[in-house]
Amino acid sequence: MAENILQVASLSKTYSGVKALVDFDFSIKQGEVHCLVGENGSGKSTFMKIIAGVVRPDRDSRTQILINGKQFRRLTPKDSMNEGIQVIYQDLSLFPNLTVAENIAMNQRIEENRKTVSWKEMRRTALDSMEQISVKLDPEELVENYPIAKQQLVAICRAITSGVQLLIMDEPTASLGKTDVEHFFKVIRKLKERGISALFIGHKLHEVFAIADRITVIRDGKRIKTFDSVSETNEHEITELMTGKKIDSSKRYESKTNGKPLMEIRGLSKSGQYSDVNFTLYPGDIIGIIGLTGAGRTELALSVFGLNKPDTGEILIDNKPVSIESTRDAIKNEIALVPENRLVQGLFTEKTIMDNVLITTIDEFRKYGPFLSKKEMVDSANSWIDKLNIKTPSAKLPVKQLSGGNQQRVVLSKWLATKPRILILDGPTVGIDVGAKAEIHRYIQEMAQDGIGIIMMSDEIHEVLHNANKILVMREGRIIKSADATSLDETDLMQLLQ
Amino acid sequence: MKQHNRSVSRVVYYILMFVIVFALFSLTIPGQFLSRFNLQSMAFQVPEFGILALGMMVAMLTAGIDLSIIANANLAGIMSAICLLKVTELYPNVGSLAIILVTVVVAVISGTIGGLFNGFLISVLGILPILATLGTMKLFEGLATVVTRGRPITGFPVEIQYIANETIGVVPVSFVIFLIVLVMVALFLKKTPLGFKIYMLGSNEEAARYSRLNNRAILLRAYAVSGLMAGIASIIMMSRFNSVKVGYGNSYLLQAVLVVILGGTNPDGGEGDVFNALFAILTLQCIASGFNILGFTDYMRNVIYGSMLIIVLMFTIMVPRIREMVKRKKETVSIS
Amino acid sequence: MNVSTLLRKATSRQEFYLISVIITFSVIMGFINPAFLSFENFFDVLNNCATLGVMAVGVLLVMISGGMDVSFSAIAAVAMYVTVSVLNVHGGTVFYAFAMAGIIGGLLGLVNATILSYFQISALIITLATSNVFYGLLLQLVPRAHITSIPKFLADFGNWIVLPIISFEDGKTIGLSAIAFAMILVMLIMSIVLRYTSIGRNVYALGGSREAAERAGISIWKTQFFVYCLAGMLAGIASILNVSMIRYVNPFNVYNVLMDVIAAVVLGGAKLSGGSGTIFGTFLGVFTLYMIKNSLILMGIPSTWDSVIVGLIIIVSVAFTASRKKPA
Repeated sequence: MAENILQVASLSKTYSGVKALVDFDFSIKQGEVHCLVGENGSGKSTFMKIIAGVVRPDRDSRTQILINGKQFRRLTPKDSMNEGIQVIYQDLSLFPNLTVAENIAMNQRIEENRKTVSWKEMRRTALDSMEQISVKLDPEELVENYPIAKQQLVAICRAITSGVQLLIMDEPTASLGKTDVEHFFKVIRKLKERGISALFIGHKLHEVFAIADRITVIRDGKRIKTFDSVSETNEHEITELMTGKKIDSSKRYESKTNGKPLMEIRGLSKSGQYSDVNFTLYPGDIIGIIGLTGAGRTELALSVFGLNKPDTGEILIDNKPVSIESTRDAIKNEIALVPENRLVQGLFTEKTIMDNVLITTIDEFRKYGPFLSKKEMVDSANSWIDKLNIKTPSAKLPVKQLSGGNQQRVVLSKWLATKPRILILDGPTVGIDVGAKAEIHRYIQEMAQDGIGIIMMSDEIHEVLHNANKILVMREGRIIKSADATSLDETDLMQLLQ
Repeated sequence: MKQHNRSVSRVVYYILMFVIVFALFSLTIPGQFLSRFNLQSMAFQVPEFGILALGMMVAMLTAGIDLSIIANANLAGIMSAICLLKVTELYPNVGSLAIILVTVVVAVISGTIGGLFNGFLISVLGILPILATLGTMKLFEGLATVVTRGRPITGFPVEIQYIANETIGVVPVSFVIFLIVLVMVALFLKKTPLGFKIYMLGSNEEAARYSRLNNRAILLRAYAVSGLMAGIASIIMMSRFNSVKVGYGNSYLLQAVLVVILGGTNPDGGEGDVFNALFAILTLQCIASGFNILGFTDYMRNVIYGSMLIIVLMFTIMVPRIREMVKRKKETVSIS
Repeated sequence: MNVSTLLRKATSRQEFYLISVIITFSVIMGFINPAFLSFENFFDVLNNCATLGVMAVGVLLVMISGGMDVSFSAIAAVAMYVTVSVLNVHGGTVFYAFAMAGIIGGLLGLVNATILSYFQISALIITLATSNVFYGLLLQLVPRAHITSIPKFLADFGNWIVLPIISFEDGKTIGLSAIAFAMILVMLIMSIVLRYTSIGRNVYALGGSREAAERAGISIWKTQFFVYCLAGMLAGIASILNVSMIRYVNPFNVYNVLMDVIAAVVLGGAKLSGGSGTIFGTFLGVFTLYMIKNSLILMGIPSTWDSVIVGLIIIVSVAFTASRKKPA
């Protein structure tokens, strides 16, 4: 039996009261690919950061970190690297302003603590490393000029330049197309043959099953189960372990669609993003658009909201063609968008709940000449807190102090306040724990029942399947399937997405 | 509720700071510091600089900066002076009201146009505020130089001199103007939709865009307000020196930035309170005047401003850190 | 590499545009006033560039690292005054002058670096504060900080033509002056440092992505100290070039070049967000700025127009860069 390269026991991490990791045990053998799977916010990334030495675990006498048989009390980034651990973060941590060669040779240069740099040697290192995994990129090109899939390869090349033993990758396939993923797996297998271990963090199960030797499921910061072989389990079981729920696969949302179409999209295209998108939204509909990151769903959402002008195609509202070129047009047509990135686009995290809820309707609170009525503002904010059951001691709490679920409720109330007729939700439950998720899904269904037309973009099969009455599957910018939710099941969607 | 109490107590800190500094000087040099002359001269010195600081604050709330504000004020003063002298030359018997009206209107319009130009560069062309206003600073300065050939313009009617040099009872007219402007800016920022939007935009520009705010229009107006402040300040400057000249008040630029930050405005945008700024301004004026009495020069004032800024920043960063450390100690104690 | 990629690379660089501007401008000016294209004028412009050029290199360094320094001109003023007044009493050599001013500048830069690395606050604000402290202290201690006589060796250094090209009968020579040579030397050395040393590359890396730099194991602390100390040092050295050229000490003049230097660096293609910028670009930025100022004089436009032109140059060049960055 191969030796453990890495072994941890009783690892915990608490972020200002929130438990991200609880008594976590984990191990990786030499030359194995171990997949750590869990939903967003389950603690995967925290674990990875601890191993990289970037985040310090809670102090606890039971905690053990063993790397190559060596015990570490305090792991620094340098320790981690010296032990042959290389991390590829989701953001890749590359230097966009530097060339491919310099990026790839960066780790080597810093490890060897050189005083000077040789561009010839950097080039050689880069070419060597690229050859090892059969990649061809121009070493003199700036990294920022390459698309994200190519940048990913640069990050891998960099990681393998210096005696790597364990490669940790955080959702490495998130932004890769199908051929890129296959190529990427070939690279991993090549590394495996050379005795290099990989910790693969992800949530796309078909990919996990294609590459993993062992699988560990993590939920709410706890290790739920480790499977020593992929043949011991199946995607269904893993899904249930990840979400912690028995899935009732027959549940569907039923729309009480009545009469006239609310919005019709005809042949909407934007080069490089999506092409020939068609669908019709009725009041009370929840249209689920499912597609992986990079499929073009976010771009489509922004186009309907006036932040991303399409090249061709028509949008009709109440059977009349409209042009939505700015967010002001979106206001006019009563369209609202809950964006994908809650913390950057959805919320003003430093500001209070009240400020966040009122930002879309602030002009309505002008009561005394040009001045706002504070009392009405407070009343309105409080009524939204009640209505959406936002758990907070006060409307004046900064939203950064709320949990993900409560934050998303703030975003929802800010848009509901505008009384929209069309609501676009882009990844409405990303990073929200299971309990809160269900409640948000319930709100979404209630809103639809009140007659709002909802378009829900997601990459989670269950979210779409159980909360939408129509489902569109999007891949590489095209709608490849459009059907009623009742006519589809999990396996159908899984296959369509691959 | 908690949050509310905290924001109230912030103002208390600034008032406390002012009271302590005031008391210190009153105790050490009571005769001179508490003299009517000194108190009045302090009240004379605050307004022009205080109004400029308010303009700077509005720009900083949007996560920007207005480096051109002094140059803009100078240009506005010069424009106003030229128009005024032309009017009095053409109509020697013009009334007091008209004189003041011409001065004020021209200065305010000129300042606002300057601000709008900044806003245009920043919001429409997408230039970084620091670079855009650096450029316009040079540009305004240059235009003023070209118009005046670098020479001062003097000899205004008595009505103009009245603004900054007369008092109502014991309070200088200019100080009253300052307080009125301050209250109006406070109302604008805290009680109008646009003010609300300025804070939100400054706190997170992208979220503002996604919240369907018209970022361009908001930025344009914020810089126009900044320019308006420059225009108002220019009237007081013009009156105080009874002349206008390129380069007057150049040292105010750094001071304005310093005082705004000392007053708790976050240079990254979205946070800041006019009344906190007021007490920061008053405190610094006390320090400046106090040290002046003690025989330090104006240059020392810059040294003190600079040091205070560093010290205050250190405090604002150290206090949470220390709190965290204390908290951690308590936790470990309770565990063991 | 084919022609189209070459062209794409060329047009994506600020240097390309600056050289185009310089050439176009020279041709036009040559028609208007042939004196513009003379060697004399060229070296005159080069000479005038020196002080700004050396300071600009320091500012460039700071900007590449993603920081900002507005205290360098105050540092230069202090270094200049202290050095000249000490040397006036004790005597010395040109080398002493540069060494001393450099060390004083470096020490003041160290103050910036220490505060910045300990409290991660906006570099603009911190250097604004230290600038006030340095400059204020200087004028507080010596309110009339003008010195009208400078050591002879400095004046001689200012007159020294290292590489004579044309000699006139009246004894006047035109050529590369020691001052211009010093600037070129500084720029060459710094180009090598930025391109071929680890610390130089770390400066680019830090500016490109602070987080990635941290993760890669680059010492942010060390890099920042290097950057801010060197910027201070270069400001000190630049101040001695200034004294040698104009032969009296006037802190106000040096203090007031602040905005011109920043303008030149930005004109040279450095981004305030960090990570990009070259010494050559900065040189072209400084050169363009002076060339335009110089040609105004030759065209007989009064110097009152100076600021208008500088302001317009800044606005047009940053607007141009901003519009070029937007996706087509």
